[in-house]
Amino acid sequence: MRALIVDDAAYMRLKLRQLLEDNNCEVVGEAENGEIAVRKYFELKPDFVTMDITMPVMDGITALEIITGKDPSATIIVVSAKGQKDLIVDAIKRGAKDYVVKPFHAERVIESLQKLKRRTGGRNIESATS
Amino acid sequence: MKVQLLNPFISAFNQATNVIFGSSVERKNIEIIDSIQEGTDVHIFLGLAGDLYGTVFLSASKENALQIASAMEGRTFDDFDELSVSALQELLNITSGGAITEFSEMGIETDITPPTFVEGKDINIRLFYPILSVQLFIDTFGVYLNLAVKKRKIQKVLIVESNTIMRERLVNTLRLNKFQVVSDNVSGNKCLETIECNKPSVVIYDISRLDKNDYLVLRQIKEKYPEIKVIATTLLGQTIKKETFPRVDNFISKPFEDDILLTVLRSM
Repeated sequence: MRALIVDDAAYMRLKLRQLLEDNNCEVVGEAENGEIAVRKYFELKPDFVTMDITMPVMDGITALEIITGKDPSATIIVVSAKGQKDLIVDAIKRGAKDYVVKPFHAERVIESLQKLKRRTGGRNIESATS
Repeated sequence: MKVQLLNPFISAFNQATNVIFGSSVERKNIEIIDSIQEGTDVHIFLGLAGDLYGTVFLSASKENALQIASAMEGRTFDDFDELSVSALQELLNITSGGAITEFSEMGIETDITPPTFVEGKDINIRLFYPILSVQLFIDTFGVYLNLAVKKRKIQKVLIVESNTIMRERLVNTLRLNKFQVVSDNVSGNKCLETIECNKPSVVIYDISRLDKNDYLVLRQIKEKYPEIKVIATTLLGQTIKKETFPRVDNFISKPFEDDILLTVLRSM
C-alpha cells in the first residue's frame, strides 16, 4: 500500500515513515503543509494519507476538504495532537476515514490500517498489516 | 491567573512522555515567575488563541534539550538540526494538543499554533502576563513548562424580554457565543431582585411597551448598580426619546441581526 505522510514536524514524518514501512507500506511522499499535500496527493495518487491538522500555510482540515472534494474516494487518516470531540466529528464529516490522536501507540495506527482494510475489502491495502 | 490552568498541560506532558519514553515525569512545585529561568538557553513557544489566549513554552538548558531530543529520536544529537528541533517542537505540540482537548471537555475552547524554536544565551524574554511555571523531569533531565495566558472573561447577561420567541432567540444566540445568560424570564418588577442575586454585567431590556414602570426600573438599575451596562431593545420605527432613558448605554431596534447585538455586547 502506498502512503503519503503529511505533517509539519520532520520528527513525526520520520516516526510515521518507520511505522508504516515496518508494516509493509511504501511511503511514496511526504508533505510539510496542506498546500503541498494537495499537490502531492494528485501527483502521486497514494492509497492513503496520514494528515496532521495544525500546520503552517494550509491546515490539514482545509487540505482534507480539498482532496475529498475532488476525490471522494480518498482515504485519509487524520493524525493530530488535537483530540476535541467536535473536531473529530467535523473531520469525519469532511471525509476522513479515521482519526488518530497523538501521542499514539504503534498499535493504534496499525488498527486504523486494519479497519480500512476491512472497509475496503482489501482493495487498496491488501499487502499491509497482514 | 489560576494555577489550575497548568494542570491539563502537566497531565498531557506526562501522557506524552509515557507514550514516547515509556516513563512518567517527576514534577516540582508550581511557581509564578516574571522572567525566564536562569540557565535556560533553549525555548520552544506555542501560541494559544480562543477562550484561553497567550503562550505556552518549554525552556531548558541546551544540554538537557539535546538529551530529551536524543531520547525521543533514539540517537545522540551533539547539536541542533532539523530533526532534533522538530522532536522538541512536537513534544510541546502533543502536550498542548492534549491540554486543549482537556480544556474543551471543561467548555473552554482554545486552538494552537505551530511551535517556534528559539536558541541563544542570555535571552531576555518579557511577557506581559504572569508566567505559571513548573519544572518537570524526564529521568534526570529537567525542563520548565511555562504558561503565560489569560482566560477570556465571560460576560453575564440578564435578558428582560416579554416576547417568548424573541427571548428564546436571544438566549440561544448568547449561549452559542459564550455569554452566560443568568436569567431570561423575568419581568421588569423582578429585575432588581434578579440582579441582586446574579450580578450580571449587562442587562438587555425590552422597552418597546413604553411602560412607565420600565423607566423606573432602569433608573434604579443605574442608581444601585452603576457598573452594569444596559442595552434597551425597541421596535422598528418606534420613537424613543433618548432623554427619557438617560441611563441606557445602547439602543437596538428590532428586528436586528445577531451580529449587531454581539458587536454591541462585545464592545461593552
